[in-house]
Amino acid sequence: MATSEAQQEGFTMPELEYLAQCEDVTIVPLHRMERLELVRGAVGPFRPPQKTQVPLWLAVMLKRANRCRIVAPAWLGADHLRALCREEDAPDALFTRLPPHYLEIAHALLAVAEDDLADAQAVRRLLQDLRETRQTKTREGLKLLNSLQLQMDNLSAAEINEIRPLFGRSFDMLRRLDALAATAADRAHRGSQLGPADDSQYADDADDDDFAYAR
Amino acid sequence: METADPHADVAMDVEERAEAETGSEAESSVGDDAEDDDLSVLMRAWVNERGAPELLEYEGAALENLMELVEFQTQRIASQPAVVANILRMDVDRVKYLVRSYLRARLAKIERHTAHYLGSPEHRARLSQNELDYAQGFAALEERHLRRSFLDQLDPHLRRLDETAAEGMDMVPRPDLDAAVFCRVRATVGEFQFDASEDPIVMRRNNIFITRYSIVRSLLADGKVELI
Repeated sequence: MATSEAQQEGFTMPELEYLAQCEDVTIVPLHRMERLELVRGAVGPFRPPQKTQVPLWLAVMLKRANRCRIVAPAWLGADHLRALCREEDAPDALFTRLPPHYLEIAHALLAVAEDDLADAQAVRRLLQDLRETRQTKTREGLKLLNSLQLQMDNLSAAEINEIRPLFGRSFDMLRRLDALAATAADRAHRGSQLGPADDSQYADDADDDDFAYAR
Repeated sequence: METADPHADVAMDVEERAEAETGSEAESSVGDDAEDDDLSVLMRAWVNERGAPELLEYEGAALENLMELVEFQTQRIASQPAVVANILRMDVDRVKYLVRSYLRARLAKIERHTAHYLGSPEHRARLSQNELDYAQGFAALEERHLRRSFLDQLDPHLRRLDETAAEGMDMVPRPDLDAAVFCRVRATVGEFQFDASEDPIVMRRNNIFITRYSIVRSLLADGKVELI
């Protein structure tokens, strides 16, 4: 098989991490280095203590080699997260705005650059709170699902991937039920128009379509 | 509570700035120009391909350009100092991973609905030459297997694999174009009618919807939305 079963159902965790690692983060280089010509274009030059933007994978690599410090993005500050938690918790609040790959980026930074984050413990706890609040809201959202569309702004890539199997299948099931109901209504309508003369055909149909008629 | 308030102010400030930034982005109605390099094109194509129930247009040009770049970079690595060489190697490996994942996502669809994609010139046009060869080889293998295992023992009129009867009955498995997809709006679309019987909904940049693939199919082809 060209793709695994898990891959047919959405993205795997490593794939989401791969996508997140393409996002830019700001670093402060600790060693001088010339501009780097990457496939996506040039990054650098690296002149301590001048900040520069690099993709997350490179930041992680440099950080592991102790060649840079990572500047925590503004949204990953404890104060900002605390405000988001409050906002997220407010009654009828929509999803608060976060980068599409916020979970993966936060996870990577907490793993390799904990020392570059102010109050990493609090950040970790707040992220967990935020995530749980958002999960509860997403589950509530399932009630609103119909067979046409549902808007869910600001959900992140990982959050969408998490609900994809459940929401996708529910959506498809609703669609099939709607189609079935429409056929049933259509037949009932046609039946009444044609009148009793067509009764025999109507009775035949009822056999193989009992699900639709049972409603 | 009082100590928390100044924090909230700072946070609100960050939020407002983010708001202002995205606000100005939203004004440019064309998708982000910065994301139109080959790597971004292929990255988006991969994610779209994984989300869409049917095979999408083949991004041959972006893929070939990238493979050329990979070749060029690989030759350059040898002459670089160790630190730089490691970084460039990682960079090249990441691009190769993307290319492989993209091609695999397409092959998976071709294997699942081989007869469908080989069946019409319009669908064939979406396949690269390599994919077409693969699909034909795959279809031939499958057919031979089915014939040997049981089809040849059936009456001749029951041996066909691509019969289409009246009443819309069709032997060829086809992708479900109404399948659920998650999409994000890339360039403001404006009012959009999801269904003839419903009120239109305004689609703004960065809005996210779950909907039927068939509804956003043309928006996806125009690059107005991306699947996620």
